[in-house]
Amino acid sequence: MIKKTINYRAILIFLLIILLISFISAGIGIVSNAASLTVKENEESCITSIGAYNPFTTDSGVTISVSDELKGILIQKSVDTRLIPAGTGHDNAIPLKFCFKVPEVYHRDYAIAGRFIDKLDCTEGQKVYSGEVILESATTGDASSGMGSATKMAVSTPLNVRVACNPYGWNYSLVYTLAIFLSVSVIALILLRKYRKPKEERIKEKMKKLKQELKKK
Amino acid sequence: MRKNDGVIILIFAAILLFSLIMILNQGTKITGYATQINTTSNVTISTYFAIDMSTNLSDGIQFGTISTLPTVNQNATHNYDGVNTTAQGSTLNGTNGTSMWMNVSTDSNTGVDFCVKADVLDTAGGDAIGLGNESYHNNTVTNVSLPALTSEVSMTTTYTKAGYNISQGSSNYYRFWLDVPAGTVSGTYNNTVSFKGVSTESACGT
Repeated sequence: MIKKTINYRAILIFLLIILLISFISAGIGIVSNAASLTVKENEESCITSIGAYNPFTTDSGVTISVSDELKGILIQKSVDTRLIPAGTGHDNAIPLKFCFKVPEVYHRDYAIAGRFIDKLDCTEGQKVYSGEVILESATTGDASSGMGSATKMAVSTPLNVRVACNPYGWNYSLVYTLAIFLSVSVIALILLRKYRKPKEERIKEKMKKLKQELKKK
Repeated sequence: MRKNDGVIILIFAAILLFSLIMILNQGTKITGYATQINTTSNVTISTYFAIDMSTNLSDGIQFGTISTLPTVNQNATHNYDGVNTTAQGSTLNGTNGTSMWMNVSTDSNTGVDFCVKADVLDTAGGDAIGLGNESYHNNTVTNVSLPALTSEVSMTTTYTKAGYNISQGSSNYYRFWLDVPAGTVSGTYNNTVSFKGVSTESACGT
């Protein structure tokens, strides 16, 4: 009799646990170890300090995206969707990788034709792309039994992409490059002219010139 | 070789050398004799939080079949079938709370603000009920009076804060209501209501 009571209790506890679990849907968690990333113009920089986790009891499918403010400079993200296993704590969060590339955003002064010999003084404020990383549940409740609203769940964390500005004075690299090219060309031309004939011929020419000079004297 | 070729070579060699030095030095700044020693100081501030929905909320917000127009404040079917979280003493097992809530995991280190938005309720045929007709209210506790109809807020297409600083292990409870104006064309109207969790004080975003 006692044994039967224990069995009934065990079944009751088991059913209660099942009931409790059924009241909990799949969840999403987000870990952020850095809310900012500094990038240089025209250079690719990546951030891996944001992760997804799921401390709940059901596996969770999430779609990963960034907000519109960051979409224009995002060049790569590690994945679009991911299954986050149940029981993944924040310590074991799955890292997500986002890479950004920012074009030239700071105003430069140009000395020639608005294109050549530039200078960057960084007097304007720092450019910052402020947006967010969004993890959204891949599944949606569908209110299938008639009039109503499907439901969706998401978590987000802010992400600021700051563009570094390193000032420099007039950049004469183009002028120096042209000077190098010109110098090498002129020197090469003179040396080529000098050494294009065989040595004997050059000596004969030299002798001929000397004779002509002696004649004049 | 002409007489002045040697001079020309000398001049251009000088120009070449100068240009090479300058191009290598481009961008190098002379900072005087100041010296400095750097040491790094690191601290990582980590923020993490996780949320989930009650089953009845993840199943969607249902308003059933409405056969009388106009209808004002039609209750969502799960508005009053949950536990009363304020029940005490003899009413410990009270009911009439809502069974639709958002939960913040205990594996979080920050409070969570919840944001809500929706798109237009419409039919497959394109008929619509204006979004201002769907409303909600939220509270950190629930009983027969809370969340309160008298505090209802209309849904919008952009995220609006609907729950502030919900702490770890706590829930934010929701009730939903729908007005159906006279003259609404018959049909099954559906939309999507989106819930977003952000760390407390953060903006809802888009």
